[in-house]
Amino acid sequence: MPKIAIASEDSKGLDDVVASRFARAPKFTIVELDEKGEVQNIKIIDNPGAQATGGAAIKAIQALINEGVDIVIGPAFGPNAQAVLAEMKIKNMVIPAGTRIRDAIEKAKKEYGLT
Amino acid sequence: MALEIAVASGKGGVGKSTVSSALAIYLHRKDYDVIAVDADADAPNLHLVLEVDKWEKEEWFEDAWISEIDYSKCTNCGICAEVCPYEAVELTGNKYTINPVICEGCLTCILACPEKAIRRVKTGRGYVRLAKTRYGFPLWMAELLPGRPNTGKLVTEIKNRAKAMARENTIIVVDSAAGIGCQVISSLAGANAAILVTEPTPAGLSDLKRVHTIAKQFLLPSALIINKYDINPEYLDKILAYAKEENIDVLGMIPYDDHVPAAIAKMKHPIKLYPDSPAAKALLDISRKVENTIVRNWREWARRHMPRKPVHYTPILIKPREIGARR
Repeated sequence: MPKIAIASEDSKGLDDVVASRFARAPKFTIVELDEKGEVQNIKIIDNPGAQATGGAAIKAIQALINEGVDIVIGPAFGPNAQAVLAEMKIKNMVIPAGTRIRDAIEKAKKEYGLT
Repeated sequence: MALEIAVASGKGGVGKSTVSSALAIYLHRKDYDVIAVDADADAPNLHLVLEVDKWEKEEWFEDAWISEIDYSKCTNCGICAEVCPYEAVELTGNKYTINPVICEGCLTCILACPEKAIRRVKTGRGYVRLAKTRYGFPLWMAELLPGRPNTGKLVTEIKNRAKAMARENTIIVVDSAAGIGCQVISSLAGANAAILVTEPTPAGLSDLKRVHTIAKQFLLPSALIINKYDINPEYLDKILAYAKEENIDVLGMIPYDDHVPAAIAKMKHPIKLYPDSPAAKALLDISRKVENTIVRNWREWARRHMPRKPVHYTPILIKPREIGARR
């Protein structure tokens, strides 16, 4: 069951929007899909990177790894984020800030053939 | 959503603050709702040239942790000095002390101390301030205390404050720090456009490439301003060639002009004090071009100058020294 984490502005679940930045996004919305690609579980976590003085992306991605995330969605990934995502071989996808989480998940499903 | 324009340069002293303040003043004169953000927390200076007399708001930003030794438990064994990756523990007289300026709050000494004599305490990093400039628009600034580590969090904080104040059509002009460090990353992250400033020198070109790489990683469309363009024709050509190759929008060039340092020495903006000087005219022309392209027609402009693909970053791994290997 793939888990997708989306950098989010708030904690409104599927009606929320993609945050304007990844590593210092206020929240992460983590959704778990079933075999048919339907959303099964939604979990919203605080992003520890938002409070980090430095190395925000490293703390953010560590939290996502702890949650067992397979795919990460953000509006863009900075230098640290790209380095850690590549190192940990985590799939990542750029989706513009302000996109509804609901639509972002659909795009990811199409991209990775999860339907 | 408000439009956020980040002015960055890589190399310092190329005119970022002069350019960003000229842009803010120009757009405000043209009746745009403008908020200026001074994100150069190591050496904020926008308030000087924008003539800020007093701060409306000044908050102490206490967000960092450092280690502190409890001498009622300390046995002076020196293990903390051995394990500290930052060499922040010093032997003062015959007592181990933690230098609060060097300590990064990494917790290593707390974990290693056999007597549990070290604790974590909160420490201040700097200030967040708000003022109304002489020109009438607000300015947010962050100021880091001397010796405190760079922090993108402080920059994120003032950018978020500016965004909270912004309306639908507000233009937020962010004056970034020099370099490509944490503060610069935070200045560029979440912006809608990057305006890069450089000068025709070897360092100007190499640092332009580095900061542009960060802008590309954030998928930011970039524009370029070449300051003091007439001091070195050879490097001017190289910079223009780089901009062409990388699809960077060249907004304009500013000639070397003694009126700029003369105005700044009097703590006034050159476009106010010497509006007819060559540099002031160039700054106004460039600001007009920003208005007509990036501000009025962002979508179209961004589409034309969007980086084709984000560049992948090759990390440089710095491994912490092995514990106890030293001394």
